[in-house]
This record gives sequence, structure tokens and C-alpha cells, in this order.
Amino acid sequence: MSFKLKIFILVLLSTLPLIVFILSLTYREFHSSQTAKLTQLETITQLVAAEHKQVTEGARQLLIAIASTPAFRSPASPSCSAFLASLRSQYVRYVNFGVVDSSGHVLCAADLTLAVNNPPSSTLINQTLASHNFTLGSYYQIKEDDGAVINFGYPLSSTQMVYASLSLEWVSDFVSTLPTPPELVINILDQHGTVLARRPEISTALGQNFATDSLIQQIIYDNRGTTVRAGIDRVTRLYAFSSIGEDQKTFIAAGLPQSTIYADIQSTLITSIFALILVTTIAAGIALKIGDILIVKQVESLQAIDKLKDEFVSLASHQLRSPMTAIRWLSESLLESKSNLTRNQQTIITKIHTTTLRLIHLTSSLLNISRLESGTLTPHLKVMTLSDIMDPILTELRPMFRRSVIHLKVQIPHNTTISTDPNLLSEIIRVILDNSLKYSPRNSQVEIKARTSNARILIYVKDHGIGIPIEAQTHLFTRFYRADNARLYSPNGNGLGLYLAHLITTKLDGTLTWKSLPGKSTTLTLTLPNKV
Amino acid sequence: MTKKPYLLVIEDDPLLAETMRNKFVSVGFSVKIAGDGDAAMKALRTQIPQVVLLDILLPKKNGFDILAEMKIDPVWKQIPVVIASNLESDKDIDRGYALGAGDYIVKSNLSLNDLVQKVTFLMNMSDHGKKFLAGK
Repeated sequence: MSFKLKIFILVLLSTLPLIVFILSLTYREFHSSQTAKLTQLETITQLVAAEHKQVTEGARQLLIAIASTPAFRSPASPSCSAFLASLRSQYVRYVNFGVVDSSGHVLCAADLTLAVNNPPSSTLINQTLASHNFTLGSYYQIKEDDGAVINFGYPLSSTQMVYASLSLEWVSDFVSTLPTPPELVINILDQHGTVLARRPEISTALGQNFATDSLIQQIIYDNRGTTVRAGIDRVTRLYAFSSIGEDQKTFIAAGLPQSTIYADIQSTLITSIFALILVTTIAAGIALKIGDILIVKQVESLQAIDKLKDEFVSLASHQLRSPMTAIRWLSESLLESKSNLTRNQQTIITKIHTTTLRLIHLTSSLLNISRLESGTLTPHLKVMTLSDIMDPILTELRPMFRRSVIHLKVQIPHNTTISTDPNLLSEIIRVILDNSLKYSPRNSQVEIKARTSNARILIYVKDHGIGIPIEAQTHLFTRFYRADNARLYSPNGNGLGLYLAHLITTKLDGTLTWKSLPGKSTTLTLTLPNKV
Repeated sequence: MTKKPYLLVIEDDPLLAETMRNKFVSVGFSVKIAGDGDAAMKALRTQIPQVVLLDILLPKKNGFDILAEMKIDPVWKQIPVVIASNLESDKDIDRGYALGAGDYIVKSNLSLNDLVQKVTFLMNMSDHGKKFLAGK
């Protein structure tokens, strides 16, 4: 994962508490807004209930006043109906006024037809006459109208009662005088779940029974309270409800759509999210900028160190090579003049020569490793046949195989061309063959063969040597690592060969894999892309 | 008596220079050693060699500068030059060939016999060397 991506993720993670804070703030605001709205709705229902008391008291006063009027000494006279009609024109909330006897016969009324079709209930008449006092009935739907009314009764005598029918529209009129939100919905229900009035009005709901609706059931069951439910029109609202009147036969439910709460918190949420995005963007920008500066500084510092290391390795390598070259050439000169040397001297000089060659090779390996690790070694690709690259190495190594009595079997196709850096490929092959030579017993066979497959060239080197112990296999390409059996078999190794070969292979976009049977054989497979 | 090919060895390490001299003399070359840039230019002016073995890191004037000067001189530019250095970076090798070296060898990687072979081969293949061989 890149450094910049890490920084970006860290910035995002650091905003997590902020996101949680905003969500918690939003939730609290939602909750608080909901509570405030429910309180507002409760207030409305309580005000309506209180107003109902006022209205009832008004009706009582009015009926007492009517009962004391001389016109009602003989209710059957035409002046009675005329008087009541004039009253109705003054008290517009009232739908009708009338006088009935104990059997429910209408003796006179402001609107006779209406009175005959919608007489006060016998219960109201009986209660009023029996109690000799003001009595109120229940709201009910009148036949001629969609509206609902409530009748108030007052005894004129032991057999006659004056009554007033009050329209339920007073509730709507009253609510409209209150500072209420436009989305407010008022439902007036009777104890059977029938909608007596609704504001705003829905003609299909009026007079309909919704006893099975869960909201209506809760209202009737609880009498008073708050809830969040889908109403009869399936819109989810916050509701406050209460019974109006003392008989608990009529209920009011005031509701506000839940969406109004979302509207309330929407602005807060949008502002918070916008602020969060802004803060995150600025923080990410600053972090990336700082990261850039840090990376640049780090890279510059690493580059400077790398350059120093490269220069040091290069200089050290050069300085070491001059005396090593001198020893090599001088020992070669001595060995050429064999006749002047004793056998023992020849052996010693041969050892000096071999050791010097090893030193030179080690120096070269270290220099190459340094360049590969620092990235300053660039492959110089050439298109060549594989055999042109392999032949010089094989020519160089064949005498050593012969000396060690190891049979080198070569199967390299002559016509296979490859685009690669021949020097680097040679180095890999040299390392692998050198290992095979070093760790194979006399009279064994080392095979090297190559083939092409799907735009790749595969070079296999198989020996029948000491093999790679299982526990050493994962360390095969580790710098300076040598397996225990390798140390015992050939103490002079430096643990750099396969590490270098692996580095070069990676540089050439190839892979180096192995298969080994400890104590029996090892096959190293070099796979290189063939872009020819 | 056959005229010997003249090899100018421009090398500041006296031990290496002496070893090369002994080897090349033993195979029939006439050898002169120049231990720094100035001595090399002086030797070139004194006598035209058939072939030059040129080190790079030298006192007073480095091998690249010497080669560059040789390649702008109408006579010297004919002389085949083998760069024999222990610098083996691609940059140095490319620069050597770009300046007109006939071969670039890393001294430590080559045996003395291989060195003699390469120098002799380059000399024999060059027009300058061929003229010498023809005039012997």
C-alpha cells in the first residue's frame, strides 16, 4: 500500500469520531424535535378538550336562558320555532334548536325537518328529564349533512326538553385560531372508531368506521397519550390524542407527519455533512501535502545514502580489484613458468590463483548486488539466440565440470532467440551452473535445457547433488544464507550466488523457482519473458 | 630481424604495468609504459604505437580524455585502443565505446593470456595494425 494511500486512510479513520458525533447529534436533534412536536400536539388536544368544556358551558348558559324565555311556556306555538330560528342565525355554531317531549316528538324547532330527521336520542331526553338538569349527549353524524353534531338538553318541564345541536365544526374553527403548522391533521372519533370530523377534511373518511385501525384502537384504548403511527390515510405521523368531554365517548387526535421532523433536522444534517466533507478534504489535502514533503525528504535522503553507498562500493571494488588483478596475473605468470617451480610451489600458487579468482568474483557480486538493490543497474536488452549467450559460459565452465568428473548435458535449441541483457542472463546461468558444479558428486550428471512456452523461455538446470533441505528452501534467496549441508559439502561459498541470481531475474522480469529432493536432486527453473 | 609491434601501456599501477610489460614482451611486443596522462601524450607524440592499452583512472589526465584527444588527431585516431580498466559500470563501458575504443575489458575478469589475445586480435583487425603487418 502506498504511503499516500495510508495517509488518506488515516485521515478518513480520524474523521470516524466526527461522523459518530454528527450522527449522535442528528439523532438527539431528531429525538428532541419529535418530543417538541409531540408536546405541541398534546397542547393542541388539551386546548381542544378545554375549549369543549367552554363550549359545553356556553351551551348550558344558552339553554338556561332559552328555558326562561316566555315563548316556551307553550312550545307548540309558531312563535317558538320562529324564536329558535332567530337564535340559530345568531349562534352559527349551532345547527338546530328544538323542543321535544318525553317521547321524542318535536314540538318546535329552528329547522323542523332537520329536527324530525335527527331528533335527540331518547337517552338524552330521558337523562335530561330525569335529572331536571342540563345534560349533554354524544357527537353523532346527522343524516342530511356530512357533519357531526352534539345535542345538549335542558328540561322545560317534567315532559318537555329544549335542546341545542352544536356542529362539530367548532373544533376546526377553534384549531384554526391556534398557531399550528399547516401539516397539522385533526381527527375527531367516537368511541366506536367512526370518524366524526377531520381537518383537513377527507370526505371518504367522514362517517367511516376504522375500528380495526391500530391507531384508532390505541386512541380508544388509551384515551390519552402520544404515538408515532401510520394514520387512516397510511401516512406516518406523530399523534397526540385525548378524549373530549367527560363521557370519554369522543376523541381528538392531532397529528403531524414524521417527515416534518426530517425537514427540521435536514438542514442540520446537510450542514454537518458539508462541514465534515470540507474538513476531511482540507485535512486530507494537508496530510497529503505534508506526506509529499516527508516522502520527498525521505526519498532524497535515501537517494543520497544510496548514491554514497554506490560510490563507496564502486570505489572500494575498484581499489580492491587492482591488487587482486595483480595477484591474479602474477600467479598466472608464475604458473606459466612451471619448469622453475617445485610441485609444492605450483600447488601453492594455484591455490593463490584460485582464491584470487574467488575474491574477484565476490567483489563483482557485491558490486552487482549493490547496483541491483539501488536500482542503478539497467538491463541493456539485445536480441540474440539463446545459444549465443550460453555457449561462452559453457565453454568457460566445461573444463571445471571435466575436472570435477561431472557430466554436463546440454539441450539448448540453436534457433531460439531472446530479447534480454546477455551479461545479466549469463550471470544467472553462471551462478546456477556453479552451484550445480559445487554441490554435485563425481560421476553425476548436470543437465541444462531450454524451451519456449507462451512467449516465455524456460531454462532448467537439474543436478543430482546434495539437494536443498526442506528447512532451507524458504531461505534460498536470502542474502548470505547457506544451508547446513552446503556448508559441510563446500565451505568456500559466500551465500550470495542465488541471492544475486534472484535479484537479476527479478530485474529481467523473470522468475526463478526450484524443486529439490534433499540428498537426491535439485532443479532450478529460470523463466524469462520472451518479447521477440 | 622482424620488427616488433609497439604497444603503449597507459597504466598508473606499476605492478600491473610491469606484469603486462613482461607478458607482452614475452609474446613478441615492444612495450612502453606511461604512468599518467601527460606521459601518455608525450609517448604518443614520440612514437606512434601499433596498439594502446589504456587505463581510465590516471593521474593528470584520465583515460577518456586521452582517448578523446587521440580521436581528434588525424594520425592517432587510426591507433586501435583497448581500454583496460577495473571500472565496469555500463556508463563507463558505453562512454569508452562511444569515444572510439576498439574493446573494453575489465582487467580483473581477464587472464593475462586472454588479454594478450584481445589486444593482438584488435591490432591485427585494425587498418593501422594491418599496415604494420604488411610493412614488416
